[in-house]
Amino acid sequence: MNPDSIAKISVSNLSHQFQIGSDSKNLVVLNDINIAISKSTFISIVGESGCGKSTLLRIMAGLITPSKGIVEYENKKVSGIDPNLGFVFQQDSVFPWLTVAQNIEYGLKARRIARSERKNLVDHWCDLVGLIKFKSAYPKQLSGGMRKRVDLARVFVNSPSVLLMDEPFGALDVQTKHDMQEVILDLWNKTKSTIIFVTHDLEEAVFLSNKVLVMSSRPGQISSSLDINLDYPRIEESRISDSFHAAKQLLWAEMKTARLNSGK
Amino acid sequence: MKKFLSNLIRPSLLLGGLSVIIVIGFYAYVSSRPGVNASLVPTPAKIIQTFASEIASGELLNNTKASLARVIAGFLIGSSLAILIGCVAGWFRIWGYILNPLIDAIRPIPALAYIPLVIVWVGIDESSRIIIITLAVFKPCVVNARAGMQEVAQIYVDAAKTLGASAFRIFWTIAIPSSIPYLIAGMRTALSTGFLALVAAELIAAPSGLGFMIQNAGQYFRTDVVIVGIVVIGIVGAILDQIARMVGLHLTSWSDVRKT
Repeated sequence: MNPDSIAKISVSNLSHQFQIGSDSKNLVVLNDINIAISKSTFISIVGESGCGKSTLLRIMAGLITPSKGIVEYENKKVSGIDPNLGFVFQQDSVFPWLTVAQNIEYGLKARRIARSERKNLVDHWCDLVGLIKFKSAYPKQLSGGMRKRVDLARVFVNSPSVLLMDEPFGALDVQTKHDMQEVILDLWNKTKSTIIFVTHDLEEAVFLSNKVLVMSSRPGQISSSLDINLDYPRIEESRISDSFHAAKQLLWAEMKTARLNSGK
Repeated sequence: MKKFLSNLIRPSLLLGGLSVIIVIGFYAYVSSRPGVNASLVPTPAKIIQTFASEIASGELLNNTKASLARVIAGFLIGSSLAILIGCVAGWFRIWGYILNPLIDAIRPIPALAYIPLVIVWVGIDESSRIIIITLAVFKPCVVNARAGMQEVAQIYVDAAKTLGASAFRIFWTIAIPSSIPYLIAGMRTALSTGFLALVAAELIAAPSGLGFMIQNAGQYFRTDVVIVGIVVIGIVGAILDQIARMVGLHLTSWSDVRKT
């Protein structure tokens, strides 16, 4: 069997409920989710706000234990935090009391990597995200876009084979967001990691991914799956091509269907 | 930059100096009114004279040294114990269950209420005075340390977790640094309550100290000496607070919170 066809990470029969208030009424957030994602895929999950896409991602990261179902990484059950899975949050999660270099070094230290190797890796990743001059700066001295680069480098430096990203560029302005999208495609190309990217921005999903999952809400479930057959590398100009628009329109139609199916 | 700094410092010095001068001026006016007993309300000139003679005799310096040593000893013991206990109680849930009732129970008790017990149990010596100050310092420090731990942003904890940090590493590298502003605030409050307890602690038959000096002078109606003692406590306390503030600013230079 072709090893590439084996799912890198998969979710089977996954359901999740939240308890609301003190009464025993439960809100079903996710209902019977099944996903299998193969190696080196860039997959986006889109859906209106409240559809449970962030919860799904947090469950995959081991930050939340699901009510039912399992997450498997290379056919092994994920329980708790797995060092092979990296996570990028929407909020600014760069530690303000550490410098850029110390932030990037954080995961390496936690994994007890030798000092000399840590230094090389930190330098390498500072360079890759264009922050070598800001190595010893504190986050408060950086712009929002630069802090996001620190965040990405801090996760990528641990060479996780799967990256889970929860609307990482949601808080950035459009220009910075476009820059960061090219940065992430470049990093993806260099590391060949598998990326699962949650967003509500359809253009972002089309620009980045080779596959998009559309979710409907109440309860959250996978409504449809769409392949984006556009060539890489994708650059700023790709956004104005006809094929890009066609893909965006197709995704928009899927979103509309998902919205109509929500709450049923 | 230089100009910016001088602009920043000047109004603060000017206005700060002005408020001190107004208070002294008002006191000078009251003390020089006809009919005011000069031995009960000494004039500023008389107070300065007493200050000079107390320095010349070496008494003031000895008393200041003795008090400072007690406050610093009590502060170091009290604040380090409090930070340790407060952080553990605020961060680790099980320890919180165990320690919170004790911390909440000591909150309303003034440190001075322990004085009779300390005298009976420990006796009348230097250690009993330091224990009183330690108890006074402990309370604000432990409450602030615990509050700091409870306010640690979840996002940093989650980020550290997904980067592979162990529970202890998260405590040490996330919870502690992010609650430094609370620890500093607690220590500054603790310094001032330490001085508060000092005077009371030196009531316990102290052979020296600013509190002793004030008590002793009061019994002989030497109000000038009492005022000198009060002013010196104020000045020494303010200097220590400034030092604590500078250390705090240095330790939180990464923070973008407004500095005042």
